[in-house]
Amino acid sequence: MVFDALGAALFAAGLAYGVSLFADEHADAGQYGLALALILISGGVRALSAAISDVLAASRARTVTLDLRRKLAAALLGGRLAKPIDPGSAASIIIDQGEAFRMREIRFTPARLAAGISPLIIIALTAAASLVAAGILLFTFIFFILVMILTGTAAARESDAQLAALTALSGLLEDRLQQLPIIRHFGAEERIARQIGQSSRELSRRTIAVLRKAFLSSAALEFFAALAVALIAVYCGFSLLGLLPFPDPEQLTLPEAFFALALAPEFYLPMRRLAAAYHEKQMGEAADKVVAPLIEPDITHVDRTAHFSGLHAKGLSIQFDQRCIGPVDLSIGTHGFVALTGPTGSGKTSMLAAIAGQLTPTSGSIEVPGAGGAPRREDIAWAAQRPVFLRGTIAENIALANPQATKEEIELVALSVGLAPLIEKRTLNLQLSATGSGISGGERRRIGLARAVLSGRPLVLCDEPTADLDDAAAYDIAALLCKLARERALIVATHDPRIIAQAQEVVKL
Amino acid sequence: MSERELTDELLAAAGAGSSRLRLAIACAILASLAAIALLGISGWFLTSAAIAGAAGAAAVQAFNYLLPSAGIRFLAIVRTAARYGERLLGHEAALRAMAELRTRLFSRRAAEDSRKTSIDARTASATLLDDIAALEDIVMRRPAWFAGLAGCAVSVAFVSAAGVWAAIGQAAILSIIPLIVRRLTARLTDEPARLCARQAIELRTQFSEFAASRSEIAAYGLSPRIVEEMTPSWEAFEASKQRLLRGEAMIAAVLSGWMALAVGLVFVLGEGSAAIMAMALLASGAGVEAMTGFTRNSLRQSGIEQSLSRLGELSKSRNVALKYEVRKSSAERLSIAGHTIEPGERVAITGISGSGKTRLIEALAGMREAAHPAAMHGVEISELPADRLRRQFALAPQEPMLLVGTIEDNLRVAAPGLTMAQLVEAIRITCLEERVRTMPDGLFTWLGAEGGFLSGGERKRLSLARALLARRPWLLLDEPTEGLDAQTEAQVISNLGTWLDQTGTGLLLVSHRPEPFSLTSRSLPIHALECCKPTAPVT
Repeated sequence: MVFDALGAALFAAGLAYGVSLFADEHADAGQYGLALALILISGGVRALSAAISDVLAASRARTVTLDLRRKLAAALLGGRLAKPIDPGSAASIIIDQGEAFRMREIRFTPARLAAGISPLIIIALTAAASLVAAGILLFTFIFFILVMILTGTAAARESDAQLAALTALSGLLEDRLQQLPIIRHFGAEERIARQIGQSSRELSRRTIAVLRKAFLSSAALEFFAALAVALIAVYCGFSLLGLLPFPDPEQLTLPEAFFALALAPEFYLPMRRLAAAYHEKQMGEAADKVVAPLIEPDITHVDRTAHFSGLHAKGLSIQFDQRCIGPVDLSIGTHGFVALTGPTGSGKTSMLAAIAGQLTPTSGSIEVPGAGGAPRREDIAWAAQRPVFLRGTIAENIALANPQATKEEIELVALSVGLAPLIEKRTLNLQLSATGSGISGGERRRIGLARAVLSGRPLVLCDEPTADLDDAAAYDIAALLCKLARERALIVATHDPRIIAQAQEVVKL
Repeated sequence: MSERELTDELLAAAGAGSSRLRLAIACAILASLAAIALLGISGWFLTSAAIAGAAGAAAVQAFNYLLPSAGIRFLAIVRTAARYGERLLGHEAALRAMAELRTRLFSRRAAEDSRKTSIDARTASATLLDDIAALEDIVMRRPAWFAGLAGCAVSVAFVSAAGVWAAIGQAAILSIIPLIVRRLTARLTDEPARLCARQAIELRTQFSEFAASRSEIAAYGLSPRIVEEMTPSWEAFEASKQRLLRGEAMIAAVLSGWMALAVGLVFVLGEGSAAIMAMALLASGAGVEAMTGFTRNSLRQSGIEQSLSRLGELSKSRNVALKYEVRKSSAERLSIAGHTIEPGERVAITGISGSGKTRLIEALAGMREAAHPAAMHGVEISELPADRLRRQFALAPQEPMLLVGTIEDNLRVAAPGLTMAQLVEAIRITCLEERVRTMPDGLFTWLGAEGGFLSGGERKRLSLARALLARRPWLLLDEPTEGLDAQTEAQVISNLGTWLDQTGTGLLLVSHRPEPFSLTSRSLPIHALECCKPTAPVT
């Protein structure tokens, strides 16, 4: 943007020179040509500098975004969270907030830099032509800063509050639209429509009141920009007429005066651009607030050398958003079967995640006896309700939990979890897609169990292993878990009485 | 219909903000005029002053400097005030119009029949909100569009002082700008923009899927693999994004260089005194700025016309949400695939999961197309208006379907004119009284989306309380005690039994838990029902 200011100066110089030529009767074509050349070259310089600075900003932003994305993926797909994040919100964080960072890098950050540097360059160049004109620019600028300090911060705060209110209203409308079927069922359409009308009108009234003040800061910018041009024009005019009410500090010539006048609008241009980028700044700050807690490094202490010898969880509870899960007391040795029960939606999965070290408990402790800390990640296997599939064969997918496993080991484990029918029909070399089409829910669940078994890890956490399964499959899985519990420590989150009946210990949430 | 006509139609329908919008447009035009005049007259004044000053004292005496210098200061003030007015009034107009439109559109959307809408509520809601946001954007930019146009006209007027050719040149170069921008956009940014939008959706879906398996991924340390799997999609998105940004940079660069071209043209074609030339040159530059503003504001987003015509269609609909007249309806006799159910009977609907029990319940409630033959008073429910159905049935659905708002808000959905005593009674019957008492705001506690911080069982009970308050002849319960422990379940069922006895309400119950069946006297296994072909897509 330094070059942009220089381009502007070239433009002003070309104009000033040209106008002075028009005033001069003896100007020749060559001189006119020079003036025209200055004007046209300035256009090229400005175009080039705009293009280069935009492209550089884009690639800088790319680096920032890539780095952020890497960190967010690691945090959202692994590591420890302070509270559970639903998948939709997680996707929105990595995509939308990532874009907010990018747009701020592209639009706001360069504008802020330019707003700091360009005005100085313009003042310096103006001073070369007319010190008084430069003084006028400085004078208006100081007042502008003062006015901005008075109105700007108040306006910014209110504008942020308004953004929050607008988001809330659109969230309300979205909620009502989504729940229309039940609203219609109870005959509440007209009442709710009226409520929406009231809220909308109320919000628009409040917003207009806020905007009256918020726009004052932009009006101040406009005012001082216009004032700078007007004052310079009037001063230069009177100086050239020789009619100044005070002794003329400098002998202005037409080109000098015109140069100062043509350059004057450029002085406030960077600040205008900055104001236009305010929205990107707001979005970027909102993104900061969401992202910062996620990418903080994890400082919990886990003894990496201690083997798993069982687990004691005491008073483990998780609190977020006015919800309270727990407290839970749980003990298990190197093998055994503990069922963690509770009604649907009571937070069993979250509690399991806390035991696995993926969620920070609000209070309570988890300890491996003799290790002085929580169980190591490499000691914990997770048998999910809906196991994830990556592109590859069934065998490869099972081996995700243990990449070193041999083909025979994989096959043995697959058979042991009851995948024999699937293997016979389609073999272990069946290619899976992420959606897992062609695999039934029960089979998918078993692949998850196979993973847990193949991993060889001593602690196995199971999330609702029999959800949506018919009786035969459910009893099958229950028997499987019993068998597994003879060699491993099993904590199963479930509300299925058939599983609970098989457990050695039942912990109620 | 063009974008402008569609917008005008919607604004007229909104019936608010149009006078403000006209004022905003007037301010915008005035601001534009003042901006160009300020620069033009400043240039003229300065140059004339220089010439007069050089010519001697007599010329200076003859030179009327008061008027121009006052005019310049005046124009500066006018420009500032008019810009402020334009922004404020423009926003005011947009906000008022949109507030009215939101109500109008919601009212019409609400009046539609749940059974006939083929898109699910979530997608429909997202589409409508996006369309509304697009319209709001257009309305806010309206005044700027006029300002740009006025600026161009005024700049040509000023340039014409330097001769006809200069004016023609100025007009020509101004009119080329939008054409060039449109051309460049079509070549450089349209396709990358489309790709970006599509790829973003794919990324979102892909990432959501993986995020849903977070625990497993975290346990086995699979996130590098996942990142690897997603890398092609991310890279494609980045590539499109960079193309888009570079395209936009090109266009911005062309626009920023265009001003020099315009001024150069006036420089060459113009003729007249130095002062006139000065005025024309500065006015020409200002005109280009106005035109780039105009172009920026008239660049249509792709798909804007579809958005606007969707909104227009909805706005023109004759069906408006009508006030719910509270009427006592007498219970009708039901017939489900030949089995008759008399008013006041309590029937359990049984069958293995996936057999359509929920479908049947929601069809009776008027929320879905019926898959099983069912009739009321001899008429198939698909022939009956949704109003007839809802007056018969009160539903506590399997998904609680709670609203964002206070607990009281949620309960009051059930019927108009409920007293506090009735709300408290419903809370008592569903054993939520104790829980509500632990909340500092009690019944006025705010619930976030889908029941907020309430547990699964509490949400179910709130939904049940709502159904009870509706006081309809039939109660439809779908898994009412899911998420409750045995003790609470027993209490709720007992209270419900008493309530049914007192009110003589009929009951159709779906439950996989055994306890609620103590309420029913009869069961209707669903596999015994014939299934007719579903007439609407199953969501």
